Amino acid sequence: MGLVLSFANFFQIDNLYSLNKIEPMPAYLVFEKPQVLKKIANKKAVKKQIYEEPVIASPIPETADTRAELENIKMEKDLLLKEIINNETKSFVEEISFFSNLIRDQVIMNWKQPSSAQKGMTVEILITLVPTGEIIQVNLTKSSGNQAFDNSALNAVQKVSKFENLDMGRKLFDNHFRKFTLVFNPEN
Amino acid sequence: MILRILTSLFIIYSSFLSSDLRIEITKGIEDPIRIAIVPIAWNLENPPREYLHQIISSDLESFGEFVSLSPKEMLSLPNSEQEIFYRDWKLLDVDYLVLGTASGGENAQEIVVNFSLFNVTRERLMKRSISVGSASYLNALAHIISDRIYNEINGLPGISSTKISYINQNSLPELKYFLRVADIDGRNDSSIFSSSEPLMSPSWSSDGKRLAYVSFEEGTSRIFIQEIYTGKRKGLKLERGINSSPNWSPSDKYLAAVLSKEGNPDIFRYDLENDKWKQLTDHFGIDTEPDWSPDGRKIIFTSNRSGSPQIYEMNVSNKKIRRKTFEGTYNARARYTPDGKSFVFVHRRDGLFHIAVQNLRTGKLQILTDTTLDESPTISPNGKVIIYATKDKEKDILAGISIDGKTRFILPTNSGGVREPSWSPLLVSTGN
Repeated sequence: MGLVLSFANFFQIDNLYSLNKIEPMPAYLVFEKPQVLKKIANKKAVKKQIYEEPVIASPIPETADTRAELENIKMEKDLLLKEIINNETKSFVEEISFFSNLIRDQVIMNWKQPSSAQKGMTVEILITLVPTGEIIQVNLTKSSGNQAFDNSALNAVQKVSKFENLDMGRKLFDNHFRKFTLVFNPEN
Repeated sequence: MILRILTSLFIIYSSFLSSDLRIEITKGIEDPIRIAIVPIAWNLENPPREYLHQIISSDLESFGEFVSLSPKEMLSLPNSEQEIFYRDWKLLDVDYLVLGTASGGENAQEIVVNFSLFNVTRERLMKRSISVGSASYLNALAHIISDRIYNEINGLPGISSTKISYINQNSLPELKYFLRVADIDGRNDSSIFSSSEPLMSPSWSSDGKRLAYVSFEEGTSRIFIQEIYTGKRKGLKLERGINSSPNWSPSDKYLAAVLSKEGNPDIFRYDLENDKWKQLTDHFGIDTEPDWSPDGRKIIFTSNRSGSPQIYEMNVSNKKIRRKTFEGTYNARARYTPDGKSFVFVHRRDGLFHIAVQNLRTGKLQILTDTTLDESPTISPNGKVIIYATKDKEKDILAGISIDGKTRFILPTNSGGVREPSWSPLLVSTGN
């Protein structure tokens, strides 16, 4: 049923597409897809859009026969939505991990451990950033007890002074990177 | 590597949950620290010929931890804090900057050096210090200044002011043995005792004022103690057989040594207050080459009680002995690192003798040298450098290596063969 409808749509749209050059506007009134409207100038994009989304876009007449089908579609849609949210969370963690690694690499490049550095020494520094990556505040929140080691960590942060390539969404930045803690913890 | 990525992922994930992001840094770059020593300005009519900044620079560079900028590369030569343009020094990738002035002291023989150490990255003064020394030997003054700088930056005592003693053997014009003491850079080398009979095993007292050593001057081996700066010497109570391998306890109250008066060599303890020997080990195998742990509670030594030479550790109070080395069939001449957590020793692998270091707790062994006939390792009082005897084209020489194995050097020493180096303790307090 849906398949037939979508085919009908497809041909209809194809027709409209061929008419596009002359009079594009009415075609999209049928569709009620605002984002397609925006992309009117790009013909290729329009075609692609049409290919991808006929099912979602099709107006299904609500009859007794189709009701069960609609229920099914709704359930599937819910499931899909859940999966999308899940994926988004996952990519959120991946993004944090990605930018954390970027930051880590830039600190490593600027950190010279003093000779007295030993496994077990820990320095914690609270960093405050602005969205451009510039460090605006540095607070030593936990000292290692070894001044030279503390200094080396502070030097590294000072030397970085601005983290490069932190191109992230504002929300991600505000939630995780505006303030974060650098933990210096030598392996050997 | 994978484990590290997993751990870091885990850390990130857990920090994501707590919404307080923590990024862990476990290593830095291996580059040496870059330091610029601006030539010291002299406020004297006839400034000495020696260039203090050069000695300080070479002191700091000797063990691979620092690289110093030559004055030719400097964009300016500031004399005071006001004249420093940090941007210039940052352009030259300098981490630290030293400025100083030298002037005459209260008497004609004194030189007073006023120096300041600046952290270029953070644009701030780290330390201001005044050092006074003798004009006739500026090296000593330079060594003290470099040790202060080293200590401030690295958080460890510097070792430029330490000395080394060693045995020097010359066959021309006649066979003669010398007990020598030199600055750690090889300069200021002088003989404090010489004999036509063999000299062996010098060992520094913990106060750095005396050396114990073995001399055959009486036809048989005997342990002597000599005051370095007065030349006063005395022999320990002589026992039948071998008297060898003296080693001072951290308190300087005792010497551990090897005697064979019971027939085979065992470890004994000599009490310097009442001149008495006390037996510590009693085994039909050979026990030799004792060294005290830094806390004075244990003695590490070599024994062939299991059939081949291996390293053992004894608890001095209850005489309990534990074998420490299990790799290979030759492990000998152990010396504790100053933190007491590891020991350096001679390890034979594939028929070649190497200097190795082993962690006492984990037992992890690491070979440091790739030469073949290395012996008698001695470790710097800050635990960072090892000097050992080795051969260069049949000639006995002294060589050094940093404890991480990355920096190597040859010690310039007197002509003739040199053996059995012994590193002094810290001789000048250069801490804060």
